[in-house]
Amino acid sequence: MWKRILLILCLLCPMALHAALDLNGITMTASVNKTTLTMEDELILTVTVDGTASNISPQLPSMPAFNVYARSSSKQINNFHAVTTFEYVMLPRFPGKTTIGPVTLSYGNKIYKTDPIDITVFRTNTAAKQPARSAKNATPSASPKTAAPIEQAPADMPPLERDLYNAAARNGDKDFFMVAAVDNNSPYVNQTATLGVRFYYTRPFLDNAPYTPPSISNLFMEEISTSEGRQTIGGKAYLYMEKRYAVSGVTPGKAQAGAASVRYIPATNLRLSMFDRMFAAVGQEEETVSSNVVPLTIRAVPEAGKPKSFYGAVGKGYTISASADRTSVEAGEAVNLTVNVNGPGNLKPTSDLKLSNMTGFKVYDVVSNSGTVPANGALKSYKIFKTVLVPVSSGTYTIPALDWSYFDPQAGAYRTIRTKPISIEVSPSTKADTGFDFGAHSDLGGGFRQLGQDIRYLKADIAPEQDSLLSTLARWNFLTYIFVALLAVCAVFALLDKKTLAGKRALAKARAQLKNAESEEAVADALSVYLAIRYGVHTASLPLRNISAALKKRGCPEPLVKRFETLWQRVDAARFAPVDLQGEGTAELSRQAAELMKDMDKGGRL
Amino acid sequence: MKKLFLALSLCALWLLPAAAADMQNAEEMYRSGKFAAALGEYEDLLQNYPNDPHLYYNIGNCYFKMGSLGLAVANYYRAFRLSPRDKDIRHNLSMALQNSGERLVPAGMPEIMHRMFFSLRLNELKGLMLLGLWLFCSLACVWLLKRRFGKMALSVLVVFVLLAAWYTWRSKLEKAPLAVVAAPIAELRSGPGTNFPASANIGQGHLLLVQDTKDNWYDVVVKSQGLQGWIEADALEKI
Repeated sequence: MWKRILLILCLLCPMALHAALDLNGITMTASVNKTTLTMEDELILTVTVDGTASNISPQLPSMPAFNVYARSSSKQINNFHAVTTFEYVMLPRFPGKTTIGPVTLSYGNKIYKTDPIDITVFRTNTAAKQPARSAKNATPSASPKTAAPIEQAPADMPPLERDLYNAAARNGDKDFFMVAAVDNNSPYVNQTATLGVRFYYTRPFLDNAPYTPPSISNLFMEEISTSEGRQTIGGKAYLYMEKRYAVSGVTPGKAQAGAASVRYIPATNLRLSMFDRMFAAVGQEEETVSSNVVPLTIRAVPEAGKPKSFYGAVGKGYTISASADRTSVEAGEAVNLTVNVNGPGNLKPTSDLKLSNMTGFKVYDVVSNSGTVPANGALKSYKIFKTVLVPVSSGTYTIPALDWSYFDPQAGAYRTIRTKPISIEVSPSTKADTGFDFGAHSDLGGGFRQLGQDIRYLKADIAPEQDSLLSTLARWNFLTYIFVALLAVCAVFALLDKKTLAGKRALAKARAQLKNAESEEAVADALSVYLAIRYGVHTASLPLRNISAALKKRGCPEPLVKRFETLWQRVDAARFAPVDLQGEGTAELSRQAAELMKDMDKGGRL
Repeated sequence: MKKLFLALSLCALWLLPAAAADMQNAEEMYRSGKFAAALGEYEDLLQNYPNDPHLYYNIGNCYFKMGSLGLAVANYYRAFRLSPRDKDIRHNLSMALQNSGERLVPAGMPEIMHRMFFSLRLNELKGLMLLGLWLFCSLACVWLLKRRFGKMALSVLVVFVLLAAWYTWRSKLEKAPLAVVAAPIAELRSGPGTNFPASANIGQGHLLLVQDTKDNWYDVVVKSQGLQGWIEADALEKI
């Protein structure tokens, strides 16, 4: 029984304690750590709730003049007395006098309110050190919009900063905004201008805020730098993040740097954990701000006075240097020539160096490599030209000075810079000119594979004597003279008298026989000898018609053949007729035979 | 006269075994990779056999193995002139020329035609040509005296003219003042001196036609490239 009573009492005790704590009601007070502060100071608002241990949450009033960026709470219980303290860390947004309204707490069907707190915010520390006078003269700022004047940037500010400053001043009524400006709205082709983009904010936002760079048209763009800063616009303190780009026009005409944008999630007055800040708190709405579009007009460089060595670079302060990887080579060996151009602006779109007047060298194509390096908020470019020079013969050669021109936009004139000449000593080559691969192999098919090729082996003996018949004949050259002489003699015979030796010999022999002829028989013999020698026709035992046919065949003219037939018949008649019938006589036949042979010798062909 | 003939025969009988021994000795050196020593042996032998194609061939082999492509080509070419039908000489010369960017058989000519063109040595070709001439003269005489064998004489004349053209061409080729680049690189200059600019580098083994000589310089034509210029005599080996 006692145990039950004790258990009930134990259960009732906390309830009684809680009731005891709340017995006299609660009190709530609000206080600040300072009532006068500057724009750079933090203001800590402390709300103390005395008399309750319950979970409570006071409601802050509307405070357009402050940004609450941190909140904390603590609870203390002493002797059945509970005190809960809430602290809010705030940053002022505008200078001037303002009031923190009553903090309210709804508890136990009652609404508790604190007293309002007057706060004076000064622009600078100097002003803050004179709170009385300032507070006295201060005018409560009913609205930041009407209180913040549009400020103009100082005249001595650089153009880009000034433009950005002024553009930002025109947006001073927003918590988040972006501006963009360029330091030169009408650059030349390839001349670099600087584009600045700033994201201003006066309230916190989650860290994960993606940034989209500006889109570009007819421009090259390279990021130069990223920075952060503060600017007070209309009395409001803004932080900004800035990105700078180097932009250069591609072709003459219109160009444009489009809007950059930031997507962000504004932070609420709730205190966010690191996890929330990094990965965005659930339930927060994403917002987007964009910068203004920046139009540009790209100008062409002047044609007048444009040198041949102008490759498109525009700017000022370019430098050029040339170097060879070695200055002493053999003929046929390669020399690597490197030409390095450095300077402001973008050298990427410039054309390659043209090498000429390289007397004594075989020049290969120029290969270029360019890049940019951000330096001191500007863009430094480099372009490296590399080529291979091969000296074709020995001697001392000079790589001449190479000209490189650029257009100076400030002076409005072309400038030319040049490298220093490089002397190359070329010695005669000691390398063999081979062009044959002994290791070359080919598949010959049929299971054979050619592995290489080599000369054939030695001859083991002295060459045998090569005296062939033809070689021997070549040594008998003297015979040529004999043959030629013989041919000449024959030709002389043939040309001088158109009579062949055979004809002459036959005529002579026949005449000799006729001269001594004493009978018709002798005349017939003489004719037979003549015909045999002269025409190769043998009359022995041949009938007359056969002899005539043979003579015609050997080219004897027809009249002579007729005369021969007549004479031959007379001779035959005289030879075989009785003596008293022999009318003409041997002398007459001899005469006729001689005449016939003479005519045959003159006109008869062989 | 008989005594002189006997003395010469004895000398030949004495020299032949000695030459064979030297050839064998040189071959042993060559086989063991002592190409320079083998070269010396062959050059000594060349003093006694100045027109031996086998010696030129072996000397060419030694130079080739020693990496002197130009001198190898020169000696192969000498051997080729002396013995154009030798297949080994043709092969090595062709290969050495190929190594230096030249070619033995001119472009466009079938190899069989080139082989036929060089199927006879120059003196054999001369003997054949003379034989044709003599035959023609004989037949022409017969025709003049007897008016016979006229067509045969004409045919022999045609053959003789062809042989004469062949011989003339071969003779021109073989007597042409050829040289080969013996140095690793020869510089072709526009004049006979180093003060004249060089227009080309010619690798060793290239064949050149020597046109003129001035001091220590040759006016040459690079046959394969059609280039003309002057080259120092030290860089060349005349064939």
